[in-house]
Amino acid sequence: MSSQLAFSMTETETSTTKRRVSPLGWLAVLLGAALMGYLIYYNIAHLHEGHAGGAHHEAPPLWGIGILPFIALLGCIAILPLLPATHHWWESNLNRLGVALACGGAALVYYFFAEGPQQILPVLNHAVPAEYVPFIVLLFSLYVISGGICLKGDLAAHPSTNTAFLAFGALIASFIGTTGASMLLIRPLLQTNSERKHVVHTVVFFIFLVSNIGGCLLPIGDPPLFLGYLRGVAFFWTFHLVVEWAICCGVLLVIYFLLDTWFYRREKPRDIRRDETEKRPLRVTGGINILWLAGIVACVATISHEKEFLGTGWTPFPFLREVLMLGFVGISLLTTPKGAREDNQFNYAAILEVAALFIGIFIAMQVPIDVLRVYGPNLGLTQPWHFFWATGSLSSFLDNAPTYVVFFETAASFEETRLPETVIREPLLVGISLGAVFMGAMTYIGNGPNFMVKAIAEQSGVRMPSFFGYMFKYSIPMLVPVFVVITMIFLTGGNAAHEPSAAGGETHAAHVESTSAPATPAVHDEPAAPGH
Amino acid sequence: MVRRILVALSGTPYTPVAIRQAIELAQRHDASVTGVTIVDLPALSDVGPIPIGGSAAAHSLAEHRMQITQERVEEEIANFEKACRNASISYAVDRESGDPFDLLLELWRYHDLTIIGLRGLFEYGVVHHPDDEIIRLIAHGVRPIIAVSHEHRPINRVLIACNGSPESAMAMKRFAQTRLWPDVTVKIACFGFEDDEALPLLTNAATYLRAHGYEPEAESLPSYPKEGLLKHCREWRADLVVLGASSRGRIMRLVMGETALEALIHADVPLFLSQ
Repeated sequence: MSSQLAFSMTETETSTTKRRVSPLGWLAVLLGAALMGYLIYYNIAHLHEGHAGGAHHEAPPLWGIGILPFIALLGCIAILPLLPATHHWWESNLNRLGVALACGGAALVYYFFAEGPQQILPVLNHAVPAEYVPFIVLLFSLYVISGGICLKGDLAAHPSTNTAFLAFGALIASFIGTTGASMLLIRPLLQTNSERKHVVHTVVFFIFLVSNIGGCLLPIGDPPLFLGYLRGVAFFWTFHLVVEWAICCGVLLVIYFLLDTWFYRREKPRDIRRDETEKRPLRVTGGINILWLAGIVACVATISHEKEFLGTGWTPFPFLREVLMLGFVGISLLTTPKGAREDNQFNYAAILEVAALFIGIFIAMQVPIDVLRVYGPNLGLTQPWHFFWATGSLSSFLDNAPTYVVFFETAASFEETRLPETVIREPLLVGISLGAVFMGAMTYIGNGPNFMVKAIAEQSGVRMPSFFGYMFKYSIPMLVPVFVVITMIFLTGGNAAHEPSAAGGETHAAHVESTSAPATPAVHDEPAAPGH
Repeated sequence: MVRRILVALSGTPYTPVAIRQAIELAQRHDASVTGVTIVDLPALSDVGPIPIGGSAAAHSLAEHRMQITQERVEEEIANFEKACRNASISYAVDRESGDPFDLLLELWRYHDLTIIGLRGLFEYGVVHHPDDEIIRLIAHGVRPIIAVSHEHRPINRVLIACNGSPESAMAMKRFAQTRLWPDVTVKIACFGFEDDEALPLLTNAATYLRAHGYEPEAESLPSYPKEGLLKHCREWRADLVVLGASSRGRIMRLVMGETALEALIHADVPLFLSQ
């Protein structure tokens, strides 16, 4: 996804962080903090007003204008870094934040005129404290804590060793996040293969397996799944994807092993001799962070203001989960050996970029979500495989978190009534989840870690393919056939969108188990739903 | 007459051969050599589309590319200067940064000959250009060009490909007029023509070359240029092929297939190109 965690210090970022903040800047920070504080207060104050829900019979008026800020923001994210005129300007997180807030503000102005000033606070409440805050706190926590684990070493780069590396990465990606797993393993994998000449395929399969597909088993594995969790998908529901995960990973690992064996035989004997002699055992520094990561998993899995804590009769207060996660971050910063993050070239630039842009995305995204609730059934997406390929195609090129939300809401629009204990039908959720996670591997921009892995590999001397080279030489010929097989085995069948639904029935994905967000509020229902 | 030679210090495996070829010609013609390095700034900073959160990695990657390029530029210049000093020839170094095409077009105006590798253009192990960039250079007006292969070979046998086009005639004339290697064995060959069509072409070309002091062989071969030229230059053991470059665009080449020139570039055959 989006949380590209490139732990690399650059001059620009360094100078940015050292820049003095002007009085106007401090005023903006104070106003922002005050607004955020008020929104959190508003969220808590409106916590017990019940879930918003219900079918939506009308789209917001002039919604064609209302979705423009969302499109404009995605367009800016895609285009501004590529234009020579805006390339450098866009490097500043302050400028990114300005664009994001401008687009978010434009969406609020739309709500002001389309639905009245009373809509502003509920929209902001849903976008910021209910979704943005938990989302960014989770990413930040995983980012900082996993950045404190450093794995070093140089094994003999046998095909079996490389395959084991990839399999291990695919296994842990769901537990420490695809970005954390990528960061942890890419450098030792490159070091292990530093004596070999044919390394590109190893990095590409690393992107497939560790940076993407491996992360589909838990909501913390890949951010779109966490957004699903915030929308009511049960924490352990994603374990239902284990068969798809296992088949996809298994097939790709077999292909990789055969390919790497073929390349290994084409290495020069001199390089193989060097590889066999220049070895260092793997060594972990900052291993204590594994404990803090387990703490994050436990926080997300068990703490919610909407349910009792492990059957104790005590219901945690709002934002306790976020407070605890930030506490684990603090403990990690205190307990990690100094060299671990330095060796990872850790800095905060990437997470600041994610934080700056996503606040605008979450606000501007509210209009398209409202529209999809009404027009979702008209899009012609009815089957799980429709959702798989539609979510996947967009996730290949856009950030997969908002893409997941868009198709989640489309699937949710099939429900006649949005009951608190139902989310969306399970077959559709399977398609959306697999599409968002698996097809992030299709391009370098499908998921944040993809580009980070490419950049680290290039800096280690691996000549990575271009954007289109990656697609046409690797992802399309190797992943698409696997996805077709996944589609045929798991995603074809009856018309899932029109199956009868019953609250808590088998066809439903999950039941609200833990969420800090109210179930998706209905903005346009009469009477107006609490929170909107 | 060749008095100023431009050699591309392009950071590819061809560069040492290009330097050596330039020095040999400079010694033979008492010419000076300008070694040019071009840091392709647009290509270095172009790391492709960037996902959200990827800007720091992109920036870091661009910085790394720049650093590697600068290191290799210094390495290339040091090698060039050392080779020129050892050969006791007059030389100059030109460090440029910007678009390689624009800069080569500008530098070419004040040089008689450009020597460059067959493939790759100011890459320094970082930027990747398509293999046929040299065709674009010719089309943009940088000519004549000697495109060297990755192995140095003395030029003793020169094959001139003749098809009656203005481009091939221009290439032959430039070769004859510059008299880079006056003592070489020259052969004119045309491919895929009927004998009655080939005869006047070969006769006229041979007459022109004789007027410039060469004694060429001439032969008409039945095969088509793309296959025949490559095969014949191997059989005849040509050290250099003189060829007129077509200015057909990349899309047209994609549609109409690889030309003889592209086949030679891919086969690593040294070329004298003009248009």
